[in-house]
Amino acid sequence: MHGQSKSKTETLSEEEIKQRAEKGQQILDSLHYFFKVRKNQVNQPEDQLAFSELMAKLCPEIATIYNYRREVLQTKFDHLGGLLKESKSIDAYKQLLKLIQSEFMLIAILLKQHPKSYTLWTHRQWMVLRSQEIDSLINSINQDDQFKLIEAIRQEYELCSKMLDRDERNFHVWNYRNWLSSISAFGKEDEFTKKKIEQNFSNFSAYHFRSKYFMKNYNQSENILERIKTEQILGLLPLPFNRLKEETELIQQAIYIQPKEHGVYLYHRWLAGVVQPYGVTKVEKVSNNSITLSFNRAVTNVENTFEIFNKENALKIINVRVEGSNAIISFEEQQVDNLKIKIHNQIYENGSLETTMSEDESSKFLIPSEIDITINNEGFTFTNTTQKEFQDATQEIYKYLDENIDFIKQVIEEEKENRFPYIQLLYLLQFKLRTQRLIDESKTSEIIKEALQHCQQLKKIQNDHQAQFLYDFWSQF
Amino acid sequence: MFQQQLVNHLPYLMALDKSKDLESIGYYLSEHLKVAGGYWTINAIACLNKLDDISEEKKQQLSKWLKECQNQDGGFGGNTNHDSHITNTHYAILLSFLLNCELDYEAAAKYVAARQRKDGSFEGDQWGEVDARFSYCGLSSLTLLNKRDLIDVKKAASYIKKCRNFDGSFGGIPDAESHGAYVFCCVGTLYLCEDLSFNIDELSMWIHERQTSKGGLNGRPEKLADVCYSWWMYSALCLLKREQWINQQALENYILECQDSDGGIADRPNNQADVFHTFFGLAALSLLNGDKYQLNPIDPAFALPKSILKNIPGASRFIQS
Repeated sequence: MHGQSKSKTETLSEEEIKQRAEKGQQILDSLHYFFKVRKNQVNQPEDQLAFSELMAKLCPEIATIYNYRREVLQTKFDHLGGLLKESKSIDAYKQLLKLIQSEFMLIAILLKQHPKSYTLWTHRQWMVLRSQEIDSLINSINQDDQFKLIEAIRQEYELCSKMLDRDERNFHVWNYRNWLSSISAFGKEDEFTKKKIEQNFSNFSAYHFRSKYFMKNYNQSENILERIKTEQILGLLPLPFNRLKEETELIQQAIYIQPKEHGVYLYHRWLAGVVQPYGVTKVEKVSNNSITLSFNRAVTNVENTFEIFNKENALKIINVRVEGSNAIISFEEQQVDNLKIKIHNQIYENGSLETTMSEDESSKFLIPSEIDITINNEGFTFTNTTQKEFQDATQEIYKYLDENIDFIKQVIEEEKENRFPYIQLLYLLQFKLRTQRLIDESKTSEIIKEALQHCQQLKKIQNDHQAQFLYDFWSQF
Repeated sequence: MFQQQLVNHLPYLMALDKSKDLESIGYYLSEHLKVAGGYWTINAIACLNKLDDISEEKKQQLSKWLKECQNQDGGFGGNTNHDSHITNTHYAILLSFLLNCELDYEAAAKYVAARQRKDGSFEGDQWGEVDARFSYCGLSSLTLLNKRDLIDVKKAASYIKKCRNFDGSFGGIPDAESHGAYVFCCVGTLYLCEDLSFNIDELSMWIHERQTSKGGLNGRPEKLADVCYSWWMYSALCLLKREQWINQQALENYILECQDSDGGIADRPNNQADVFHTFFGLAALSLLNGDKYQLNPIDPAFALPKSILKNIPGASRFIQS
């Protein structure tokens, strides 16, 4: 029982109380009879669908009623489908259509009253799947007279739009819509989520599903390979750079309008965070059978990116283990004195689809480099060489981050007592720090110094555990 | 008018099964929620350390009824005659430990284990709805029954990790928006899977932002606070040992403010109290400052009193000290 004010429940007349008690008893009696039917303790009603419809309208949230109804429907679908298959019966076809349409209608009516019922949304999904099956059955026997599933699914999107007009954050509707998009392609999620955001910049559900849409639309392996052809290195980003910049403008506008809300910062942070390239910054340890490389950030999926040579002879890599931002490569044991390690971006260099399938959205932008290590009595020295074109791409990203940092600083100017832009700034500086490490490790101290100053400011506004955590985080550098 | 102390909730709770709330049709329509309602009521009474106030006769009667809710397939419905579902099977198991009555656990475990799908997720019943709530019910039930070997625990964890979003929190299915109640389901499942390898700080940051200016927690950005999220998210912070990430005193005060002076706790101040929010409010208070209110220590992973859990072989090793 959510959101029911206490005062509202105390103003019933005796007559009303009596009526409700009667209605209540009617519900209990009907359920009692329903369970007898369910257990075949009495004869099945002549019209099982009409009976269960009555029950569903009386008790719209009781799953057992829908379970019964689905069993009845399935039996009818099987029977009519069989007739259709055997004799191409027009009558069976018409009955099937009528069944499907009236079921969708019924659920729509019930959903209007109970828009957050898991039971009803599950039933609707089940119906979509059944109509898909029936559609392919009709297609397989009669090409001319189609059921027009496409039309039906379009109507489902309509329903979602209407329901989201009534409650723009109802996650049941959003999830259903998202599921529809996974089985059909008429969602226009780009347009739709943008419309919802423009209607209300505080609608985090729309930002959330927009990010999911971008990932699905731009992040399939084929898309990435296609983008590399036109955008070269920046094609490795999980969404086109221009698109990213447009989107950043949209969210910056939203932050200006709603600077005291959490959701807008989350989406902005996501956008700025997906552009982080990664690569090796340091050689940590070298021995005769292993080497530890340190990356600028935590890494995943780097198992197939290394080649190692000892005095120009290729070494057999036995295992690559990842621990946070370190990769520990073990190889066949031998006396090493001059090691060369080649780090490859398999997607960029070879169009390797396997690597692009990775679920980590920012794991594709690996900066290839060549590391030369000379081992001597005192230890080792190394040089790390990156191609110029990759350095240029990194600079572009650095510039994008800097623009966003400037933007947040402007927000702080207007919102001096608001913790959100400070926290956001600290995130952006962390992205910048990681990128800086790829460009010039020696210049990172300025970023750390700046971040610590902002941490102090944040602690003045909000002296709590989160502020302390952020302070501790930056102090460790 | 706001409460600053704990109201005596016992009379409210003890009267729940007698009072047919005739003014509300909701009473009749919640016929299918009786097993869940029984768990919330009895567990709330357990929170107050008053299980002994329930008569032996009443306990016997409840136990008999609970057994009748178990179906041929081993699962439980939300009441007698209702079809089985994993949530009700989980509630029934929890309630049986509170009432100290034996059910056919063997069959129940089989029913629950059969709900796991190839990808590690759990379906609610044979009709195939998938949700992280069901993963939690699965893991909790089978841990309590010491039957974890019936499922693939690793896969269960890997499915939950797919429910994690860019904001650091969790939704109910992959792609779904992060939601406070699913923080409990997902962190609870991962905790019971003994695999907390995700970015805990990022989640803590997100939970921190759920605390509203009035002290209560909301479930998503730009939504209203609600008492039940006190449990859903503070329990997760306890499991992750990040209790300090929110203002505990402010949350405690908020829960107290949502009390009805006649007993019971509502979702928000001045709203109608109900057993659901009464239980989750008390359980959260037990985690926050149980000693002060002389509440029974409740375990953040299982939502059962620790005193009961320590006698359950499968569960004892998961109890937090």
